[in-house]
Amino acid sequence: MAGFNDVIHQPIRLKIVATLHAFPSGEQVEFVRLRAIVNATEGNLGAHLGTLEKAGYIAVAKDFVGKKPRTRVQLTAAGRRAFQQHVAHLKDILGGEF
Amino acid sequence: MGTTDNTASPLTPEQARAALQGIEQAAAHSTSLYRYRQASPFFFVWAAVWLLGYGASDLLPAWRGPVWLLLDAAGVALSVAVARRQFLRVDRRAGWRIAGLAGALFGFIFCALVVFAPVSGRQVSAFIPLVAAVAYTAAGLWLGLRFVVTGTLLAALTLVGYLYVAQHFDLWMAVVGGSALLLAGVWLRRV
Repeated sequence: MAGFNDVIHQPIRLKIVATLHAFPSGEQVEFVRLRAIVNATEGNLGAHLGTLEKAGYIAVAKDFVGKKPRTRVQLTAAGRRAFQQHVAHLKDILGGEF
Repeated sequence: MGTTDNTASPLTPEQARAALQGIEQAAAHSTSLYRYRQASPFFFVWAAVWLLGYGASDLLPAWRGPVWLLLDAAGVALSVAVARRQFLRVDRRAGWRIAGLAGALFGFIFCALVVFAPVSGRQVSAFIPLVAAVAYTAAGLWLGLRFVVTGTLLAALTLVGYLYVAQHFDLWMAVVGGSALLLAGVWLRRV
């Protein structure tokens, strides 16, 4: 049975990773857009992104557009694999029902 | 790195089911928003084409033919360029597909006008946006509700203008039709 991933399984982080996983590989999403999609506060999202980045599941890129700071997030290959393994684990629990 | 435990899961089947449903919903929502955002630039291109084309048809009716030929060619070329830039990573043939779609649509319109000839200039002006409206609505059945809403609204606005604003139909389509496409493009970019 594939393993349970306690970093990914937290509800907001699960939503973040599921959202990022739906984008094509290598696609970056802006922080403000991701915040609106997962419906989290700025601080809350920032904290969860920090946890996922520390685990190596996302990459965070910061730059400027003109004078405006911009933060973009993408799922890493490790993050993609970890998410897929966690989903497989959830499906294993249901024994093929899903 | 997250803990992966190959022994008993801490989750019950109900919790696993709820998590998977949440993942499905998040993925579906994310995919729709991604498709909407990718489609948005095309709406801006064709909003500009309609604004200029219908506007010129109203102001310079004798020049409508050459103006529309030029603007449609520019619209298709820009759409191909946008497709190549946006989809190159996931679909190398995106530009060709857009060009092919444009060819198919224009081919259909030409054939339909031959079958229904003779047709008036106003009928041609109304028929083309109705074809676009049907295309958006049909695409929306797979790509998402916002396309269905946009297509339906476009069709309704075209028919209203055709039936009730006959004398200034081209101006109606320039302002109202062009604005509808522009607003659709903005809407598609939003979460």
